Amino acid sequence: MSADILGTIVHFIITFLFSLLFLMGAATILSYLDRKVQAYAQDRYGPLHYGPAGLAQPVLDVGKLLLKEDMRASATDNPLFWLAPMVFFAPVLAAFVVLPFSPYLTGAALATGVIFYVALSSIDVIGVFMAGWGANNKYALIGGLRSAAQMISYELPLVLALVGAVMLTSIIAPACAGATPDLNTCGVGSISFTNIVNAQLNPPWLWFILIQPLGLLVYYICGLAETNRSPFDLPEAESELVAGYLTEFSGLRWAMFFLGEYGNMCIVSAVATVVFLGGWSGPGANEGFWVGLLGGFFGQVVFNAIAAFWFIAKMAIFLFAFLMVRVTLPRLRADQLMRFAWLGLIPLTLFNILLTGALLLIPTDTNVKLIVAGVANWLLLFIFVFGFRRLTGVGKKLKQAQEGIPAIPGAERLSAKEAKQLTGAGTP
Amino acid sequence: MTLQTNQGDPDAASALYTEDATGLRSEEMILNMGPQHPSTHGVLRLVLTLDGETVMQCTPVMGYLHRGMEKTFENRPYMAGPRYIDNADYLSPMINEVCYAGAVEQIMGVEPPPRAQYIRVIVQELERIASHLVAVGTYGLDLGAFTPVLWAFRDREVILDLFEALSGHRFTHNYMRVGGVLYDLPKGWIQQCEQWATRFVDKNLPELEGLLTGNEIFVSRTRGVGYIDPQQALAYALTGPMTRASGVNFDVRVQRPYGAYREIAVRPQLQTGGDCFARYRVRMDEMVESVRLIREALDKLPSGPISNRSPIALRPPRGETYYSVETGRGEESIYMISDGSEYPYRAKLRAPSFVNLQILPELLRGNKIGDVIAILGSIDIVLGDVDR
Amino acid sequence: MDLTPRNGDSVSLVAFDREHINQLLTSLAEVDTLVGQPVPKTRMGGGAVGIEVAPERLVEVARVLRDSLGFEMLTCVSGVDFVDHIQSVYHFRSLASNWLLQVRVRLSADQPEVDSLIGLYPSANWLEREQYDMVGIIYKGHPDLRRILLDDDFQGFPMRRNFRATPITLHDRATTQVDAERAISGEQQRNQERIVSKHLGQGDEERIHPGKPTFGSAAVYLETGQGLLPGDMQGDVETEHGYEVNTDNPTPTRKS
Repeated sequence: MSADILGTIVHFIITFLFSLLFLMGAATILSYLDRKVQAYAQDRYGPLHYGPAGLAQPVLDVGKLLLKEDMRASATDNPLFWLAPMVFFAPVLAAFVVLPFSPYLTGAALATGVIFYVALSSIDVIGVFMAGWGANNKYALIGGLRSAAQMISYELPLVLALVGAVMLTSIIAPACAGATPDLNTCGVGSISFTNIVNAQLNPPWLWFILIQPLGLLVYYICGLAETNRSPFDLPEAESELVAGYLTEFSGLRWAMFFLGEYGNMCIVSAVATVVFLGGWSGPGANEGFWVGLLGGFFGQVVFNAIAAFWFIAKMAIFLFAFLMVRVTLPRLRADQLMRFAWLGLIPLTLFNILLTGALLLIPTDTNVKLIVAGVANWLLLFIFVFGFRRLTGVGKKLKQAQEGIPAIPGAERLSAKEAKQLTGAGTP
Repeated sequence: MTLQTNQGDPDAASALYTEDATGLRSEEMILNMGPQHPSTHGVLRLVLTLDGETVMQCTPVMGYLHRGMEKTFENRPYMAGPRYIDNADYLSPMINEVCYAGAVEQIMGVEPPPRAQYIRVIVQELERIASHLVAVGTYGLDLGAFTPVLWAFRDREVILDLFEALSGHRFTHNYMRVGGVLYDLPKGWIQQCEQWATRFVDKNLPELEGLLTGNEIFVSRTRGVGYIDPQQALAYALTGPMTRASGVNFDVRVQRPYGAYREIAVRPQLQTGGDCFARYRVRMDEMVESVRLIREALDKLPSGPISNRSPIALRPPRGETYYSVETGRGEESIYMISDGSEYPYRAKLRAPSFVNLQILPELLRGNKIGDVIAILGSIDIVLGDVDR
Repeated sequence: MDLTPRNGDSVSLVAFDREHINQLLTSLAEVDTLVGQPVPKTRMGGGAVGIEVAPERLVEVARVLRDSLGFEMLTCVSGVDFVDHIQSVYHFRSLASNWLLQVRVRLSADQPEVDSLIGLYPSANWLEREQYDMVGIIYKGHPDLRRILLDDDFQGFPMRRNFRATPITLHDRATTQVDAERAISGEQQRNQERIVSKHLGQGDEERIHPGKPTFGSAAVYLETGQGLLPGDMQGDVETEHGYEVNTDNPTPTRKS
């Protein structure tokens, strides 16, 4: 009994420290990598002078932010202005708790992991909006409003994309296996992150990206929007709104937003890893093998280390994609952003859910079901990617621009003949 | 100013409120964009009246960079003029200098020797490329793409290096003289220029274009935004890429060729789209065309003197003239009056940015805040040119 | 001087220009009939043609230029202060015919007023505002005639010949800097900016003080009798203080 309590306490301390240090460390390292990756893509050096290859730069940055004067404009709404960074940052820290870095390094193996994560990531909106309102600055206000609209809109497809994966766990669940599933007990999948990982371990390469690639893509796009990263960085669009809701913040308060943003990126990547890339599974992450080889304690240590390595390595892929997207794409406009979410992503994910749900009713073997689901989803993905230009009308716009058709409002809806008539008009 | 008085007067301010049937009160917001703002390209200030995110009215306020350039000209000898006009359109100083020197030459009725004229064409086209690179790069920055501006500056750096080798300065060159240019091309300059041109056209420009032209987000942000009718372009006296993107074939180099442009034919780059995307395309196409002109000028470059050796104390005869050149932004002209003294009696600078900016309130009405930046960026103003 | 004269024959543009200018000059007969007498026409450098019209006929002439002769663009508006009179100079461009026309309007120095062209050419809006700002020409009928490049409460018009001083401003001092002279003399510093008279620029110095040994027009005038009369300008300029308050504006009163 006392050994159990001691074990729980040790587990708590280890996972708490790991989560906290990982968040802080990851944010710092990411800020460095962000610059380095951007610099690499943009044909320049990036941080260079402090430490080898500029490695000490993030440390200095953090030091500068900590030592900066805590400035505040005289007309701010004090309670909101002071609370906003904390409201933004606390959910980030809390969401780290449920992430299963490895079987042991899981702060709380909550049975409601996905819901918990989604709920916490929605709280960020409140922090951003408080910052926007509390700063009493027009740019901040517009930024806050944009952020609220954007985060709420993208929350929906984000959840719906995860639902597809959750439904897969119910298909794989033992009650649903076989040609004639017991429909009374079947359909009860798991929304616990640990169980979602476990569902992808049998066989160990059965990652949900193979069956739900569309879910991953949609989830990742929504993740970009949730974290206010390019091309969805409208709330802090530097060229339009100076810094959006961050305009009036400096020093430590700004640093908390900064940490929160990078922490959010980590969480989005981690959840994508858990749900779609099989979590900590990977070559060598075999518990039985290491325990048999090295004995209980050291075997567990080695196994967990390898598992955490795979987890972080998979996260790194997503984080790298975050950074590369930022250097590649321009920014959307507010109405285009909304249209993309409500008319593009939400119907798509709903259709995906419908498709996945229909699988339950097919009276065949689980493997056949998964293959059917996979093929259908890959098809949907290709249709989405290649039909994207048709969906947004960009293909036609580009074609018209190359043909030199005047861009009067609604020109993209013209027929070729009408457009030709326009082309000659008005040229002296 | 009406907007300010509205704020001070409570009755007038309350007129900004509107109430709908349900009793919901909505208020128009006045947003001061600039003069310290990342993407007003300097110190332009736009007083925007917003309904939500939609722009209802826009009042540009300028003059924060006014240096009294025309007054300065009146009090400096003719030979000192090029040094001051450098700062007008600070992204194309070489072309400004050609404008000033050309105006004085036109009053005097002289022409620089052929070699000087060809060198002028080469540096003008290089400057045009440098100016367009900044325009396209910062346009990407305005739309939220960080990379194009840095990729554009790779080539601009080389151009500035070439100018440094030529004139000794990277930015305010002070290179043109009345009746010629200051220095001849240094040794190896032509080879370097040709190497750069090859690399630029074959590698760097397609890379830059690949980043923007086919990009869905870029196209949807620019196509159909800020449409200018050809008639509107003429009525507002727009020049440069602004008017050529609307299908109006106006280019000073083509219509009234000056210097060696009389021997090197310029193909005007036209687009009929009339929107931000067309303006972007015109700039991209003009860069390719400029490289062609540079190559042609380098091939035809005659030998001989580079200057007429005009006296420092230059006294043009009495008279007046209107001399135009084509900068990266449009027609830049000087209306110069000489009273026979060593100093211009009046030198009025017709700045393309200033005239092009005039259409901005017309274009912005009804657009979103994001489009304010997209449209302003596509006009490609230089505040040194607007305020002079 | 080793100056190459413009080659009259070899360059194609010159012949092209001559033919063109003749076409424009014949077309301008329409303006003559409108005004009722032949307007003075001059050939200018760079293939431009200059005409001069009376200020009250400007809008009619501009309408003819735009509608009949095809001058679509009002490219440039310049104001020039010739001390005894003020000119408002317009440059029109025709793209279809590739013409450049300069229209000059003489205005009185005391009351420089002319009708605005904004009804015909929207581009006149800022161009005229700028000339109002710089030269002080009043464009009647302009809907928004206020300063554009300078401060709204700026005094005087800088491109006038009699503009000599830094502006008299009634602003509070922008800085906490103490004026050196007053700090020494112990005089209490007022909460306003001091009026500073500015030295003349080289060009004006020479025009106003012709006795000075410089190279400019004054020397030329003394030698040859040609050039702008410096004496004309002297009368209007109060050289003692180096500045003069513009008569168009009320004398600025100081806040105490």
